Amino acid sequence: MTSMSIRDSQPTPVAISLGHNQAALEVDLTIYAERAVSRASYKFTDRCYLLLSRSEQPGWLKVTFGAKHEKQDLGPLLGEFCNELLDQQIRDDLSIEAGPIRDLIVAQAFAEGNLLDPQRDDGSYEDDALGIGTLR
Amino acid sequence: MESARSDKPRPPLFRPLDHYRQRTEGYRLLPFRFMRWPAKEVLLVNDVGEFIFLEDQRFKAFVGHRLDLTDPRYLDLKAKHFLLDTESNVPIELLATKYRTKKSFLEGFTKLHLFVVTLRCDHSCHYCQVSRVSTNRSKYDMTKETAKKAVELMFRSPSPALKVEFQGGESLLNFEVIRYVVEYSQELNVREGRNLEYVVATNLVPLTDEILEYLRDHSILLSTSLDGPEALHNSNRPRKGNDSYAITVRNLQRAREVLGHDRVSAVMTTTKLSLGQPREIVDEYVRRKFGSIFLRSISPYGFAVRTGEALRYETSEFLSFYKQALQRIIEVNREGYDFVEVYAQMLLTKMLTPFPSLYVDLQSPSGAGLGAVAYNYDGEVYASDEARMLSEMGDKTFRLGNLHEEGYEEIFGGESLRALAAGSVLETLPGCTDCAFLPYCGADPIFNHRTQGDVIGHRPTSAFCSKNIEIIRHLFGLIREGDPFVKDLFTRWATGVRSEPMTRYKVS
Amino acid sequence: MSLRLQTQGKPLPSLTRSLLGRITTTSLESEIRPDHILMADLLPGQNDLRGYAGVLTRESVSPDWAEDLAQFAPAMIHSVSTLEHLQEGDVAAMNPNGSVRTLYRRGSRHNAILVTERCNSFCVMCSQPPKRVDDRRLIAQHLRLVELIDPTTEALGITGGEPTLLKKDLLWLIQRCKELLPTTSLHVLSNGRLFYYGAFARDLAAIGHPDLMIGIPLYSDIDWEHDHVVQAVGAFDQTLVGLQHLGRYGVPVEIRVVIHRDTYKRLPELAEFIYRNLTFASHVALMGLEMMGFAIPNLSDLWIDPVEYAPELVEATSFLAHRGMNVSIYNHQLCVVPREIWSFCKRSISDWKNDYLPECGECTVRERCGGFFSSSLQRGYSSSIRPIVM
Repeated sequence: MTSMSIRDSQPTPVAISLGHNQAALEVDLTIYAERAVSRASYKFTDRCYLLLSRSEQPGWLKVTFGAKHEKQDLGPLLGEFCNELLDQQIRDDLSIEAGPIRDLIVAQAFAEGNLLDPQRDDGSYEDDALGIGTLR
Repeated sequence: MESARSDKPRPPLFRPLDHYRQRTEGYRLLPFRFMRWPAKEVLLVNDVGEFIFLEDQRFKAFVGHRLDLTDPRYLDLKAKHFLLDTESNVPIELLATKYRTKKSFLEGFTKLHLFVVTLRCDHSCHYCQVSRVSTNRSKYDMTKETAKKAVELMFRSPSPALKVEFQGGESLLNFEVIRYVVEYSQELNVREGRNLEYVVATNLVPLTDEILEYLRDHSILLSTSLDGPEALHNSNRPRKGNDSYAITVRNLQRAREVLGHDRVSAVMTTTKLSLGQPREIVDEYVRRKFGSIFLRSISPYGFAVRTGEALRYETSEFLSFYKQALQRIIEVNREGYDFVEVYAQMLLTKMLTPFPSLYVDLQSPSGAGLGAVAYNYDGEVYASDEARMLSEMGDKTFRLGNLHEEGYEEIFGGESLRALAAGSVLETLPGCTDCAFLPYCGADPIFNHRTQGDVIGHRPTSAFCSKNIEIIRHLFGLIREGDPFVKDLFTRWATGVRSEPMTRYKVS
Repeated sequence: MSLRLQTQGKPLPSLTRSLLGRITTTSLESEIRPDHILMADLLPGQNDLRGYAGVLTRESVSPDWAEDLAQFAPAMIHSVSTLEHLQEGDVAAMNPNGSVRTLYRRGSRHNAILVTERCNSFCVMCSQPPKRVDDRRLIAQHLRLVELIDPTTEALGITGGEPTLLKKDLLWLIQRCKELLPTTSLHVLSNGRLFYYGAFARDLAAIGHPDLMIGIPLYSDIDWEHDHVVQAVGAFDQTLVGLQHLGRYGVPVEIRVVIHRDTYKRLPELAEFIYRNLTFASHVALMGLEMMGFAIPNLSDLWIDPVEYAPELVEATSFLAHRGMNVSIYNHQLCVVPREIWSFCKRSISDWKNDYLPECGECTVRERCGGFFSSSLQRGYSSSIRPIVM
């Protein structure tokens, strides 16, 4: 088994080992969310076999790649996987930041009234509590 | 009384731009999905299909909350609702309105009602599961009792517009029941007040003057099959005498004369035999003066078991065929003949306009069972044409019920449809949830079930997925290549607008 | 030619309040006289003066004669400098200070009721700068005007200031237009901000006016840019919410964009924003700058020769047109607009402030061209104006 680290703009190296028709990656879960790892893995299930398991190192996840056919070179797949992991991490961060807004958008899309501002539907324009009609 | 003098300078009458730029510290990201693009770019697509291409470095800065206000793309990201940098809720409300528009196809629930009036047919098309070359009417024809129940069930749909499509076998072989359905539905409609539309799918062989007059008097549209030039068409669609093409062309002419040119449309089906003739197929359609073509691929399960093997093809083969045909179609338009490719049109509508596609093939929640339903000749109700074909092959997973046994609530509220619905919302499907093309794509749970074993499906190996991804990517590529003619053409397809020709791309 | 809309004369002392009336030059039956203002170069006999809302004459009336006349026609303005501009069927206001203002011209396609001079915005190019004057009581006059306007009038505008500041009074005015002028299309110009209150849009829609359009300006796809042009924080948000409400309740809206140095750069992006977010708009008007009001002190910041923004104008126009949105170009001369978008140029300038240059006499497309604002001829126009000889 040899170790290599795949360089990328992400400074954290990911430990790798290669074997016959197999390879394994270890992912630091303080950098990547589990969700990101499983989603990245899903995308590769057409090209190879994957197994996720707990690493011996605490706080790390092990991703084992299995070749789907003899002579398959797993190296390039590992590289792509690392890049995919970065993108999935971005997506994970995005879903935490923007996910609640998406839920709100969908809820508002199908709601009858305004969910965000009750003044909107029922507020009196004569009273103009918001002062929209204030003269300059 | 003198006005008091103040030491404070009076505020200027007009305030500068800075006074109105009431930004939050930094910005927050609004929901979007992204996809890496060749040449170090990233495509970002928001929940309503609005898109923007960013260079990789800019994308990194953007998602890292480091993109500066002075960046040339910052304002575009803001205006297109990819970022929010004020306390305002209005972008969220606008997105909600736009989202509602994108899902507006759900309104009215079931709008398309397929009446499979007979299984009898004189053709043995290779991609058809169901037809029977037979004269046994009682075994394979829809009865009036069944038709009556189907019409009554149809009117239980709340949709203000209802489209009735007659299918088969060869639907005209049971013209009596077609006539019955038209008349009975119009009778009920006096009270219902819906907008009713009728289409007859037919190979045109049984067409008579009497039938044509009836169709004309009741404003019924015709849809026929034309797979390409004569040899190809006849190979795909064998019948006794091997003259399907000749009859189709002859009766097409007759039908157009009686009904009007635009009242007859055609669909084609791609088989392995078609793959080598993309340009010829397009040219055949142009020669026959059609205004559009739907380049339809057939799923692997779509081939009749008996003849299937030889006609199947890989997605990659279809894609090559598609691109060449599309190329030819663009050429044809450049030469001055208006001709639309329907599948591209569906996608472009979703990519370039605020509107959804009205074709049930490309929707999320998917159209099968929800937007469309099929009433089989025997009274069985299915979620779609594919669903009933599946049942012919022994798989009744998508059978929703029976007209004679169950009512509206059981059929449309039953377990079968609910299970189907579970696989029909892209926003919840693995592999789709993060796909930048989600707003442009649609779910096909029946395809998933048939090819991969469950309605959810497996995206990395899905032929439906790889086909759509590649076609959408190809369309984006053509748009970005910069040929103004192609951009305008695609816009016209997407919007259906024929506007004043702009002089800049005229080819003289 | 810019038309005369005002004239001046000497009022009788008995003219103590403003009044409105339909101009007539002929003697009328007594029942309808209270709606009419009799107009004559020379005064007819005293009996013929009785019962009219008012009397206008070019004749000079001595103080003695005035006392007599006041018995028959207390509401009179004499010694009027000119009456040529007033036509039968026009509606004019006679004021105690002797001024006579034309409020409505029969046969013109550009009539509008100015319902208030107050505004809650303060646009940097406002051609009708707001005044902080409580003119709410003038609603009676506007309602009276609606009663006097010829019902065969094709179109009527409601302008300001900001008409929505009248709130329920505006709704009532529109209601009266529906009742008294049922076939007259109504075009209300508004910043749309008060429609932030959904109830206002709902109540407006509830009137059920058969041919109503609200023209609402939008100057950018970026909130602070729009707010800067209209000089009001939050205006963009309020306007967009207002537009959404109007759309939801089915009130037709038109989006108006005045093009100047602060708005031309993102004009194509604004077109896309309108297409995506305000698809329901019945019409989009891309407008040239009028050199009136605030445009004058701000001219150096705002003025840009239309030929300089021709690319943006073409892009925005064709973007919208290709997507099936109705789009028009207002207040631009054909010689400064690329030919490919000429078909969108409309003859939009109200007749009473519409003019051409002397060189336009040679132009072969003058008939199609909207010409200039009278104010532009004094204050500035493109250096590329030239007659087109085809």
